[in-house]
Amino acid sequence: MKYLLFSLIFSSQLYSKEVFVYSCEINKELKTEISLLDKNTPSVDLFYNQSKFANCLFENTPLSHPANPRAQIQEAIWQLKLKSCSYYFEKHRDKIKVDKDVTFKQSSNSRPSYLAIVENQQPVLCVPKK
Amino acid sequence: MKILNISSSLLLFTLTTTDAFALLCPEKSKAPLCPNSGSTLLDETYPTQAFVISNQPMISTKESRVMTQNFVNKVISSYEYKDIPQIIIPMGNPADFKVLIANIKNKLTQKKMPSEEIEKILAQITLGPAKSYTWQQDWFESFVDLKTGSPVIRQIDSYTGRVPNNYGEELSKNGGECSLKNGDNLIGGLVDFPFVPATKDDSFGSGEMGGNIEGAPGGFCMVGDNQGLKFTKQFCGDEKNIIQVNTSWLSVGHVDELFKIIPTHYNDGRPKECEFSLMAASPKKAMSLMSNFRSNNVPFYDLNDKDPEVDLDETRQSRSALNLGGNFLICNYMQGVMNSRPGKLQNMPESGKSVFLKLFFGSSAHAATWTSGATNLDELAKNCAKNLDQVSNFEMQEVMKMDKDFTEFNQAIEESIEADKAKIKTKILSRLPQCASYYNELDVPDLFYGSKAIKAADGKLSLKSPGTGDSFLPNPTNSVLMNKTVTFPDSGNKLFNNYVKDEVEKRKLKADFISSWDYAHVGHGNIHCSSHSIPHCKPQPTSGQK
Repeated sequence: MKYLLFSLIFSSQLYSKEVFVYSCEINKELKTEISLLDKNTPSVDLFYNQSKFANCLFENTPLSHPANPRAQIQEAIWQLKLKSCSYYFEKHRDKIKVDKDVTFKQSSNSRPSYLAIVENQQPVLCVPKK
Repeated sequence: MKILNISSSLLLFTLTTTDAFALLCPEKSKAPLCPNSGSTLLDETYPTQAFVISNQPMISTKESRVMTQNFVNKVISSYEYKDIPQIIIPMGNPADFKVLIANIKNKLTQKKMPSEEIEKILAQITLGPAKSYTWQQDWFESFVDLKTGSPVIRQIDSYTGRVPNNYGEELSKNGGECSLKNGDNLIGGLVDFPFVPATKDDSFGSGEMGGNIEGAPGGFCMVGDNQGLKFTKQFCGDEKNIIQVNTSWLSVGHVDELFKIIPTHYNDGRPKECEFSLMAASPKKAMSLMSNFRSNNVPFYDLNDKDPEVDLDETRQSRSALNLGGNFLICNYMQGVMNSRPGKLQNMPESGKSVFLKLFFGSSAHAATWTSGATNLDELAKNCAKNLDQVSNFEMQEVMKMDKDFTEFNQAIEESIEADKAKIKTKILSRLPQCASYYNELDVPDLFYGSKAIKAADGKLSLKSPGTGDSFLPNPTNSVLMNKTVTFPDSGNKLFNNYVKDEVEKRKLKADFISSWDYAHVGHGNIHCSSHSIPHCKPQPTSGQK
């Protein structure tokens, strides 16, 4: 228990200045939130009209790059593979067709980030969640 | 040029070598006329006044540590040891420059050249601004003063934090003797956070960089769709001078990853202004070359194991480390080949023989072998390093074709590039209609990985933007023209190298290759990205002049 508590405090201090969660709006009704808290298994929440209806777990792959040395500013590329999705509301399952291969282009705070999560659709803009 | 004091002391001779002769400046009267479109950007059919080459490899290996020196040697030999443009090498440590000069001098001495000739050559090599930096293509772009034809470099304002603010000023001083000027910075039009939907005026991603600004005949500027008008108009003049092509599906997103204008020397009576070819990246060309049955005994990776400048262990490491470039997918494809060989053969088929892989339709090669867990990944990398040169091009394309994502992505890229080629052709011929029957294109083999393609309900493919596309192998369009030689990054694939060499020679140019995998490829760029050619032109006659 002590170990767990220490880990939690340590983790939160270590990453306190990093952005963990990005909110990515697909349209007025649909949005996703990607959490990079666990870098090995990032997760994505799916929302319909502000209500979370699913959580999807992804697995990071070696194709991810922590920073592209030639890109403008600290532009990390995450190439993620879908592990599973848990649906809280089955009726919304088809609202967002989650791709099995997802890309997140994570830029520094002053540049936009993009998440390609919906199958056969362009990436959506993400903003750091406050 | 006149000889100044040359010391008889060998040491002093080496140290003062660049002072012995004055810098040789090119004669502008011999250059083609400057564009009259209003653009200040020149294409690669114009002569080069100076090269800038980086001295900073992405990863330090035996191969990458000699890249700069090899680049300089290739410039010198491409110009046949005379009338060599200035070569500026920005370096943090002047002692490194002395070593480099000594090595180059040694190489020239071995050729038994007269010492005076050697000194003239060395006088063209200049120690540049005091910071080594890899991407010498990106932080500035070279333009011309249309009144004088002399080059003007302009630092890119939004390229912050990686080179000093006065880097452009310092660089221009290095070429000041030959009228190289430092112009106004190019002011960024990058879309800032909070995001505003990008209008045609705005740039995004890595759009505002030198590698995303390339000249085209007829006074055009080729730029990516990630570069906005606010930025481009500062050097290209009227919007009509701009050819915007799709680049934002790439990880970096630059024109020089896809297109390059090269001069040709057909000398068949065509007008001088029509002596050019548009080089374009082509996944289709790559697959077509690989699917030729004769490619069965040519390995996908040639490890250059007889090259004394290569440490084979380092080469195997940088081609199989799963976190570098497209290695993870390539290693999976190779594993797919190994697993599909009858009898689990370990070696590549001997010349003339073939192996029929046991492939299963519908299963993606990398998806089939992808499993999480460090042990499996370690094993994958280990097998990959071992088998790198034991998989043929033919086998590789057989497995790649089974990967639906790879196939659709590369098909979408091919379609996008074909559409842009048509756009470029239309634009150029609108100003040079006399070139219609001579218009020439050169498709060069290039395979990409990255974000999956988008497939519409009608089956039409398109690319995600911004995307994460990248070239598996060093990219032929990211080459450098040195006089009448196109110096390509060595793709590591002899089939591809031989093809581009043959094609370039058909255009009466020479082809040469330089190993740049560890130097630049692992950093998502190549030798064009890590160098800069600074061209010049002859001013248009003013009214009343002939």
